[in-house]
Amino acid sequence: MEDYGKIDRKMLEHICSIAKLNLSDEEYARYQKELQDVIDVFRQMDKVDTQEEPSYHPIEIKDRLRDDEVIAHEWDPLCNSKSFEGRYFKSPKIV
Amino acid sequence: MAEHKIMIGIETHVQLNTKSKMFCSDRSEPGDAEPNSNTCPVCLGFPGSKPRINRKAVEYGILIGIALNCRINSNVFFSRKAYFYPDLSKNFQITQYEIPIAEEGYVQMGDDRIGITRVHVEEDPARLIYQNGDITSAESVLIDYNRAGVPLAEIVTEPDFKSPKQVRNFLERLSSVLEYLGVYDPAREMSLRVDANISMDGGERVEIKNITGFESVEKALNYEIVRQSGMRRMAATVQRETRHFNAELKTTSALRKKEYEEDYGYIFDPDLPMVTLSEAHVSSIKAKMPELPEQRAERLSKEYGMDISRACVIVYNGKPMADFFETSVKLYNNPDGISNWIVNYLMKSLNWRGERISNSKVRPNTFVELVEMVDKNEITERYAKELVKSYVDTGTSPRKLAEGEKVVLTEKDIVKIVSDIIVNNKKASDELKAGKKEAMQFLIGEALKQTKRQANPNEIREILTKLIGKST
Amino acid sequence: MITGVKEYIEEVRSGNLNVDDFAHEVVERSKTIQKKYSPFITLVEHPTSGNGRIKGLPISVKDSICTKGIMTTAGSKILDGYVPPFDATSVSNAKRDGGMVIGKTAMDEFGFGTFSTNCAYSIPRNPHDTSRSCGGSSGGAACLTAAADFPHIAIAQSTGGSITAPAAFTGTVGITPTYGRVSRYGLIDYSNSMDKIGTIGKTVYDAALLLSSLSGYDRLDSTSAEIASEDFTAFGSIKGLRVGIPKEYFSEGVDKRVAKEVRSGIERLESLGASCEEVSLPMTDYGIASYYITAISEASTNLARYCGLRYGMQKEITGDFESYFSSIRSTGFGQEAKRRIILGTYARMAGFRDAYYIKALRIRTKIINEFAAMFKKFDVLVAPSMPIIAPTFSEIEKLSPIKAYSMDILTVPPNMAGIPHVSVPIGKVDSMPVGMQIMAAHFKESDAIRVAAAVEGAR
Repeated sequence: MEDYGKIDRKMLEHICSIAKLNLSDEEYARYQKELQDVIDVFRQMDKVDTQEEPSYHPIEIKDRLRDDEVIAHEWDPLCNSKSFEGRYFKSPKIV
Repeated sequence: MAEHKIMIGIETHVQLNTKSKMFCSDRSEPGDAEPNSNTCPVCLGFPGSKPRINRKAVEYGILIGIALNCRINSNVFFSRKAYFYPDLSKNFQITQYEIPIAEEGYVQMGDDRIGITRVHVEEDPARLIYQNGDITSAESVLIDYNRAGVPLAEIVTEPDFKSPKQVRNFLERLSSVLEYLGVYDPAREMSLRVDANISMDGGERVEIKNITGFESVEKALNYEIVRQSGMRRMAATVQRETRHFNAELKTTSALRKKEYEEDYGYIFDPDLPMVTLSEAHVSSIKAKMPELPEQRAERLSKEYGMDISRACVIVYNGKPMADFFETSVKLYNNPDGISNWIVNYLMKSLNWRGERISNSKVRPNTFVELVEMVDKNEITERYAKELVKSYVDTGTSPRKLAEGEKVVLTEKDIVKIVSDIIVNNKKASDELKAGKKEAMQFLIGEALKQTKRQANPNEIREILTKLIGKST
Repeated sequence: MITGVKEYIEEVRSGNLNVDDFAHEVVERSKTIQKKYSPFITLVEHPTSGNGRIKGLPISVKDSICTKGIMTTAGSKILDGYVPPFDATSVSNAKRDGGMVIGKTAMDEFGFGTFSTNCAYSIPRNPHDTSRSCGGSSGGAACLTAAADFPHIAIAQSTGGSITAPAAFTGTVGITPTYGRVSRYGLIDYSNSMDKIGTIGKTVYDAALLLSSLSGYDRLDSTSAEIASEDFTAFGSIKGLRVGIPKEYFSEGVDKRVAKEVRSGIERLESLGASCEEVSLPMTDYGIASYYITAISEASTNLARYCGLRYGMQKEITGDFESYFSSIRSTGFGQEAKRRIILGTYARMAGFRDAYYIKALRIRTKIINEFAAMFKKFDVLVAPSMPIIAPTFSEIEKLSPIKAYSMDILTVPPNMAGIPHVSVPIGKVDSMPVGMQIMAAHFKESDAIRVAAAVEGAR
């Protein structure tokens, strides 16, 4: 496993491509320092021994299931869209 | 083809036929409704909207897991699979990652056992429409979210398949099982999609995504084998990549390089609860489970004294056909005759017309008429075989269709017809007397026409010879 | 003009108030306050209301909570122009009881911040000292509550302290209820397992009154608690109440003067009959790391949907989707949002996930258990709300991100544990308000609220 405590430019670029963000060179340089400081604080968690199970919510929440029935929704799905053709939404191309 | 070591594993996505979607109450009917008419803020990923789990979809997932001999997990979770794509309204898909509904099952196919890694439920993405082209060349792309949120069951196999044919057989079996469980409708277009992963001779794994139709799956895999063997012969290395199958050209083409496992950054979906599946709950579902195709075939074979292979033909044609058989037998108690007419004639006619029993005009009460008439010698078998075609065409009662047809001719009737033909075809008869063979053929032909093919050509030849001989 | 909520309700009940004239006057005064302090992103020109126990009462709504027909931005440019086609359940509950929505209040973008300085629209200024922040992320809500010269209660929201911080900095009362007490349907998500909708009012009564309207089971939210609402204004006596004082909340990281004010508040509680005892909550130190990792892991997935399709900021659709999405997201998100998306994506990546995301969830379990053990012995825990008084804008500019995150050290643990807590003004330092927070067990808002009321009444 890679050293999970280091944020370098290459890692930042990789994350930005996954997260669909374009950063300027200035932002890359600045974020690298800022985020490294944050990660160093996050690493404090290493000091804690945890045998506990992960918690998914602060209170236990289980089995909230919905019956299989159709409830039609009266609305215009295009109400906030600026790009559509007929009743379709327009999408950018794939490649 | 040289002996190659082939490993294939597949992921099958099945649209479950619940009434509403996986995480919202919209109608789950991706058919030909007006675009974006079965939507709401939830499946359109509007800010502030929240998902709610469809209980029935979870039950269907459990049914599938049990039918595939899996272990059902007792606490299951939903996860977010995050990636950006225009068909994902939230740019993540709600699926099951860490703990799916079912794991570690198998399907026995003869001597081979195909491992089932997992069965889980998730939501379908939207439908993309490529205008003037396909995924790589379209000028513009449109999105219809009617399909977004439709419940899917994903069934993942171990890479246990050794040939494309085996994959196809498995898919046909699986489709039958799902149909018998009542969780999916095979008639619905695009309701079953397959991603196939193939590696040859220890080489890289190639993924072919989103194939619809069992035939296409087999073709795509066959193409890959040819393509990859070709590359090996040229000493080229097969790349690890994702490919797309073109059904028209019957080829696969590269979509994108799979340099690394797509990093989906899974987290537990914090809008959704843990779902507990107690042993009692699972047992009660198991108790209500419909009869599976294998069980039905065994039962049909036993109850109706049928050969197991014939029972399988009926059963695996689809549940509607098996139901049709049993209903027919209840109306007219000749299981042997009915199964014979179904397997050897009815199925062919339906295939020819591209119909399934459920959308044809054929009904048990009219179908048994045909069998009964043959049994009682009211019509000949030969005539019945022809009758099947017009019956399937029109759905009209076979009795009505056969009405007015003096359909069973006695020997006396045939002799009379042949005599008339001799009299009405003087030229040919004279030629026949003179020994001309062509004349014989012509007269037999006429006789067959007149007797509506009820008489046997040899029978006619005999009668002609006798009659001609008499008059000489 | 009536300025108090209680008197307002009395006037309406006795039929002495003309609701239309009142509404008009409220709009005018709101505009004046907007010019002075900028609490609003959107002001409603012609607010309306129905019948109910809070008929016509002015309610402001934090801009991360959807209001049908009224622009809702979550403080971000990427939702500029977004008009929700539905009301959040909390808003429809307030309207059901007659509440009158007068505007949407400013906030740190998506809740990312402690000072409301990450708002892409207006940055609210503290009415006690306009060179200082109102706190965040519900800064606009607290600002308006403090400045309003008309009856008003704010609907606010907290993930890691976004109700407590602004309430403490502006000298108002903030109630953060139990996780699940108020439906999250229609709340634009920051961290779904920790987001809670609550209230900010001038007095404990005000904040409690509105909370009663907002609360209650909602089937549209799968995490909504199946617990009926209560009359949270039914304050009782605090005699014999057992109060725990966690020592970690008074450590050197906390301004000594702030600590002193809170200790006087605690003495007040003792004089009212409560018994106080010092306790230790060792997991407090790990709250920041565990909170931020959990929050940003969830947030980075919540924010994935903002890509210029179907709503909000959109451009002409050209080119491929990756370029289009990146272009929208890079111009629409502010700096803090980008930082949190990057870190959140990192914390979830294969290979890092166990060390960050899963580990953080395990530590949360420890924090939850630690509080649960406390509430077996104590009814409430009392501590300072924030380690400092409201900082100036120039001080905030100098803070690095990690230093800014560390300001949440006192608010993060109760928020992670999802326990209800109230911040009540307890004194002043350098003329700036200081808040005291009172924490109670799950669904025991009434315990925290009556302590807050008692302290308020004893001033």
